[in-house]
Amino acid sequence: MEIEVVNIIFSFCAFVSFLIFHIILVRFKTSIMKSFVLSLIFGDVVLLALYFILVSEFLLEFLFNSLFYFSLAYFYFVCIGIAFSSIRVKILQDIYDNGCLSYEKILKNYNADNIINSRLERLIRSGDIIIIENKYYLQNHRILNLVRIINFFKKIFFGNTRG
Amino acid sequence: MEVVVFTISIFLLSFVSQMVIWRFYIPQRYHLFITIYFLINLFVSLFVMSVLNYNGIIEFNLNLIQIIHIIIFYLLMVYPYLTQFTGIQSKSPTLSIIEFIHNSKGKGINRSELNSILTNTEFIDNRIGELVQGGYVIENKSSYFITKKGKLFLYPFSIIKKLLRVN
Repeated sequence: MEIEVVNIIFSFCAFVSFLIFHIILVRFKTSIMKSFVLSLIFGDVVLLALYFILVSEFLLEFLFNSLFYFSLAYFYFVCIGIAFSSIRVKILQDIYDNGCLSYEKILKNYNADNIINSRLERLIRSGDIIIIENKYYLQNHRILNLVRIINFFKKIFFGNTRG
Repeated sequence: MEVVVFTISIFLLSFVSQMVIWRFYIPQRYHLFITIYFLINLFVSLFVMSVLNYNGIIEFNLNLIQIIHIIIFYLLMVYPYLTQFTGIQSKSPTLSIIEFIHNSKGKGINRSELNSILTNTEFIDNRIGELVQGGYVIENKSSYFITKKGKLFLYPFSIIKKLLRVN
């Protein structure tokens, strides 16, 4: 079999292992992020094992094909992100579940107030912000660094940070 | 190795040229524009490479399996990019909150101050507008109905939720 075909088959095998391991971990109540990292490592070990057992002079093929496997896994991770936190998808799901929805009903479930409250709760839980005497303060700069990266790209794309 | 180098090169080329386009023209349906633009870049690059290779100008011979590999790899890069680009194009509530708190320069922000920067118009109306514009829902007598396209779009996410058993 050609090495190109082997590369594709191995990557998909590693991805399927990643997927199964991730589903098991999440069902056993491991957090999405932690389970993703563990499954990613697991899948890459499977990929390495496949090359080690079945292909001679595999190191370069393994390294480059790991990138392909990571992009498969990242694609899945992005889909999870959209499924669980995208406001658009949540609104769409609500419309689907109810048959139809008026603007007022959509606003009842999804309004700026609710969104701010849920995000504040999540940020406090993850230790990104802290509340002292009814005021919110930054506790770590993890997400702020992401803001800086996004602002950098906004400047490149739009010439300002407003988007 | 050729697959990885070629795919990343086309992706970077598309990305940089998109940056230049965005400085002069921002399309309204940017998701569709980026998808079509990146796909055109891929197929034009593959075509140019095969012409150059056929004429003996460069030696970069890709077989059919490698081309399929490139197409899959490239699509796997474009879709996440497209979703990340939404974060650049529109405002994220979490990032806005963090930026607003940071801009207070250590003085802290109270809950009512946050209301002034995050409004329904910005976070809900825009998103509903995009759903209508994208053809995922239709508006009829002040109510929103999901379209076939909307149902199709939701389908993979429903599968993920069922598999993971998380709501």
